[in-house]
Amino acid sequence: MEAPAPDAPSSRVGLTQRLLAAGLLVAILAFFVGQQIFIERHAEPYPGLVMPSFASAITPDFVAVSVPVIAVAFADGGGAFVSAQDLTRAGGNTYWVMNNVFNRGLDAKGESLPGLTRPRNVVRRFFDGATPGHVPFSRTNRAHHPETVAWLRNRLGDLYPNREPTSMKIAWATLVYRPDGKRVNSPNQTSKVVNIDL
Amino acid sequence: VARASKFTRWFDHWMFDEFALSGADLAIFRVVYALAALLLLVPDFEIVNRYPDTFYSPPPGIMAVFTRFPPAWVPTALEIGIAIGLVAILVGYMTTLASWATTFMWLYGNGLVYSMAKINHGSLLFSIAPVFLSLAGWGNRFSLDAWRRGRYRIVRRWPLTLFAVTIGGMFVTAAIPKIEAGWLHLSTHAVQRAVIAAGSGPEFATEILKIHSPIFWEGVDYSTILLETGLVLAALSLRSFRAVLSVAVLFHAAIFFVLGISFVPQVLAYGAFVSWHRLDWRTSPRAAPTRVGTELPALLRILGPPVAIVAVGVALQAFGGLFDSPSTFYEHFNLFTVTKIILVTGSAVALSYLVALAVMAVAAIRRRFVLRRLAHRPT
Repeated sequence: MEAPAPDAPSSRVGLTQRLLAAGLLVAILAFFVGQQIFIERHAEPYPGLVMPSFASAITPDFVAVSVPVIAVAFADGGGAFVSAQDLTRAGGNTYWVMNNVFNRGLDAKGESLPGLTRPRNVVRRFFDGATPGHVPFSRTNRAHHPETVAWLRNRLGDLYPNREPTSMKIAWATLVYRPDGKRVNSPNQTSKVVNIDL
Repeated sequence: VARASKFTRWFDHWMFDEFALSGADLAIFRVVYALAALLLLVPDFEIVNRYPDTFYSPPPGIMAVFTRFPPAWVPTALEIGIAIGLVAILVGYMTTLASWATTFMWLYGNGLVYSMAKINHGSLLFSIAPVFLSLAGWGNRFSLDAWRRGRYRIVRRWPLTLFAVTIGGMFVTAAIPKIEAGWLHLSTHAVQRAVIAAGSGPEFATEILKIHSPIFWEGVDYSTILLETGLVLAALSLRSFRAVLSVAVLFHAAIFFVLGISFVPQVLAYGAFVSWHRLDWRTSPRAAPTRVGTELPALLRILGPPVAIVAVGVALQAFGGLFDSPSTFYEHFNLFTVTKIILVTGSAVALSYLVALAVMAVAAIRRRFVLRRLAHRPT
């Protein structure tokens, strides 16, 4: 018996496959349009067929970057700085984890913003995107939640086995750079300070 | 009516004939895909077990339906499931089921990780590729499925066309917010900003920031937009799609060395459009062997040399500082090293393809010129 050819030229494609292919093409194009409307109105969905935007454009004079500076106070009266990387062990996601938990949902003094409540309705949760560029529940205070505090206590216990942490301060420092990459300010300029009692 | 029929003919050709990759091409890519995923890219979903549920902050969509991380065994089960799926894809056993299952497990597992921080787009294309490629028939050759069936199924080209359109559309989604944010304004140099924000860690970040020419930085901004909007149009033909994909590979390599952001899985996914059988001129795309026993030597002939070359590259890189200390191998042989090797190899392939296209274009123009001169020569 002669083996069939490995290729399938169009003359050999049946009506069902033609309809399926055309239907899927229309579906993919419609998905992209719908997805873009969703992104403009809410935020980027997951899963979605999206590539990263890196949309923020430069001002001619400087670039401002916000970074967390973390200080821990211990019961023995001492203190220590901890890097966000060491604290979260989140690798390349460190900034985003810190931002989600210890920045969003808090005002400049680290107090709770009037928070959104998590919807009970499943369909509402699906579309709960708040504003473009923000994840759902972004105004919920997670930093002072008992689960977060318990986690911090455990984590700092791992990092400093023989010391008892009593409080943690996260200062969101604004670093300003010139276009050639040189920094033009000291890291003392902070936009937000979050205090957490442990 | 005539115009409609012309469009229909064009559409027919584009959808069902244009992306003419053979069963051998797809099957070799299947093996490359599974090996790369198993050795380099099996994701770490268990990272979510380190955090409390207060860290669960999903983007809109399926993950937002859940309110907390799943039990700790779920990420572990997903990792094991993906590994099993990839092994099945590698040997071509129940390939379609394995491909779809792997994609869904990967998407859900990634969704857990992305619900903790942000959506990382680098592996999205790589994780959805099996769905398109299983529809095309990447399990039809060099596979246990083909051996079990005892016959050879034909390859479908239209899923590759759809995959190309999907990749092009995804690039457009990256271009739209850039345009909205002002990348095309002459006073904004967005790439320059991104390089500054990335810090001095990446290899060439400091070097490239020494360039102060606004024409250069705005040119980079415009080139990026052009690439991201052009890929979907390039999908109208396989040759132009490959050419723009080649530019995209160079683009990803530049991003890695300047911004420190790796899109290696994406570069690997572009391999779906490579004519892999050309690595061995003895393997005809039209040959239709039906037994695994006859196909294995061909597969080894095709993949042996490039695997050996990459292995030598890895070894040279890994053992570069061997005499410093016994642990040097492990210090050097890490994902960063492999990322560099894949990107450099991919860039070499992409550049070769672009040069070959340019040479062919010049030859075609010369041939046309000569023919025209001959036609006008008085007899």
